[in-house]
Amino acid sequence: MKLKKMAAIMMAVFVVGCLTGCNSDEGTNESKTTKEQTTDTQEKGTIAYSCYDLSYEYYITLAQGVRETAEAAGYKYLEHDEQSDEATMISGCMDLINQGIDALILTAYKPEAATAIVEAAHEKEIPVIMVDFGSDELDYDILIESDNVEGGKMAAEYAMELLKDNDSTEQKAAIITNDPSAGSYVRRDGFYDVVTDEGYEVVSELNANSNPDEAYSCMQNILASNPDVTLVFCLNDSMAIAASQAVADAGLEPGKDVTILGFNADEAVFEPIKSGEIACTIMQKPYEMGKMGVEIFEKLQSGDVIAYDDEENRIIWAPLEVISKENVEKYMK
Amino acid sequence: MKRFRFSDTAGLFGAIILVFIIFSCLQPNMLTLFNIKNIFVQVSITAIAAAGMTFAMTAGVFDLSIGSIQALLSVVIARIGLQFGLAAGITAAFAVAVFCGIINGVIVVNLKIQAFAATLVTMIVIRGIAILLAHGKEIPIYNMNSIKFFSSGTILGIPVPIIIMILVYAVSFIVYEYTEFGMYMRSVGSNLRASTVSGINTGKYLIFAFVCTAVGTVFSTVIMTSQIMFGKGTVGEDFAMDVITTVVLGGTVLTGGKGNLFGTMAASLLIAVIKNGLNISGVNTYYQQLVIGIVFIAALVLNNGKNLQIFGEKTERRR
Repeated sequence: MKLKKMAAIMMAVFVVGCLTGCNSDEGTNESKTTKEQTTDTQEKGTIAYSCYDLSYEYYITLAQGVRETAEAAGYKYLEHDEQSDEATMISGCMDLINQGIDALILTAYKPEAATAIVEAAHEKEIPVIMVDFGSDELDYDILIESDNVEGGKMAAEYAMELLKDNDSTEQKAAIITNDPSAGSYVRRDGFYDVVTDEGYEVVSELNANSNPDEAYSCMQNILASNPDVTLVFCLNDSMAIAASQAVADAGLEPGKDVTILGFNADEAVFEPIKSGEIACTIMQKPYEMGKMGVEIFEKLQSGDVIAYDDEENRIIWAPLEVISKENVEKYMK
Repeated sequence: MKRFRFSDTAGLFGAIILVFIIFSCLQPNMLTLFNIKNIFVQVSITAIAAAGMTFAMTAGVFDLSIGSIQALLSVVIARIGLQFGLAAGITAAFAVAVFCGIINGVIVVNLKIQAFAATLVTMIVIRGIAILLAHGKEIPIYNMNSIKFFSSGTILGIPVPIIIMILVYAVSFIVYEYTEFGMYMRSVGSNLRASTVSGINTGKYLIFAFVCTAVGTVFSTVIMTSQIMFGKGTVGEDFAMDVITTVVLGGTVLTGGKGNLFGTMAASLLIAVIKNGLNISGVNTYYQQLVIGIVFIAALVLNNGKNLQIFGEKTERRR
């Protein structure tokens, strides 16, 4: 009994310790991520941005893009952090809508759960501009997202350019994918189309569920069944890193015997890109996306015609960039 | 309490050979030395952790938190390894693993919480700590060349992961079958009350059971980290389920008291051969799940009657 009490007390102390630890950790970000941040500018209107989760660098940059563009254009800016939580997403957005904003820019943690938000906004005639990703069921006004198909194409085109110089005779490619139900799976389509057009044969397509450890095994299996594979496209960077290790462990030279491509431009991939083990990755542009969100809203307001890339789904593609040996140093800290 | 009998596992080995022959016909590259080495390397990560889990499940408990422990250890190895060298990193990983095992054990034994609930909670907590320690990012270890020994190194031509696996199984087998420790472990699992009455410090053995799984996970994690070359707080999300599936498929009874290390090894091999075969013969992912499920059922049926006592006599007590 005594022990039980002691353990309970210890647990309590541990939990409190953890909590204070978390707080001090977030302290540095406090100024940036306070729930609702206001900036005083003359009243041209208010743009609110509800963000997926402001503990990710990617989304911090996206929010920065929205804020700086909005403020530069003379809007009042409100910010809300969904903290990767559905309930927080809904309540926070409702609060924003009730404050009489003029536009809601939204990166929904769960787009499929955001129907009520869009409805409430439209009731008050507030346009909803979704950024980063959306959902078919949602009645958003405009969606700005990266074109994953185009990204796959860009990676493939870079590789084709690279392999042209190498003058290799083997034209066999493989793809290590994530789960086909994921939205980013279409990266594979872009890659597939380009390489098959160039005469490559895609000899193997394996699903590693976005996991690096599974990607390692998949790469081993690809090498076992097709020892002469020359090009491997991985749908994310951590899988690309693992695949390049598997190639190296099989006694081949990644970057020379097998060209490996990644996607996402994670920080961890820059080093192997610099050393040539991974040929390239595709970088999304969160800052640009945020900026585009505000610019599109201004167009909406002034009644300009909006040039959709996908008219039917009201989608505008955000730009992408190929990160390779030539430009990687610019992004290394 | 009977000793190990090879016949218990014959069905599984039969299944492995059968599956292997089928795939070799479909895809000749299955039979290359390179691929056979691959299969054993792929099997090592799950198989080693499964050896530890066999001890735990023999003692009548199991550990859902090992996937999180794996993530935490990968971060520890990367962080400490980068700062103080690989040896320090691995030593720290052992210390952390033993600590996690003791925490799991103490929650189960002293706070009298079921192993399922206890490790479900620690799974979440440990995962959280791992992600915090890594700041949610990957910690690359490209500059740590020494760790490549665990993925691409060989001894007498045999890849190091395979050697580690063989050593772990040899030691586990001896401990399990021929020492007092192994005997008490089985006795605790088959009848806790009787074991307590007969003077065995059952709590101690249950805590040991958790330490065994956590320590097994260290070996697995070192190999995995050397393969992917970074530490990350989100790795190993399906790991616990894979390992528990392996152990059960190998003929260890969920209710405890009866384990089968050879079965565990054979089951890991079977799973690896199926996955490898499906992959290299280019079978669609969705069919893969289906095939794996069917083979599992077949393997369980083959083993049934001898090993599996899901509806056996030992259901009255569980932790």
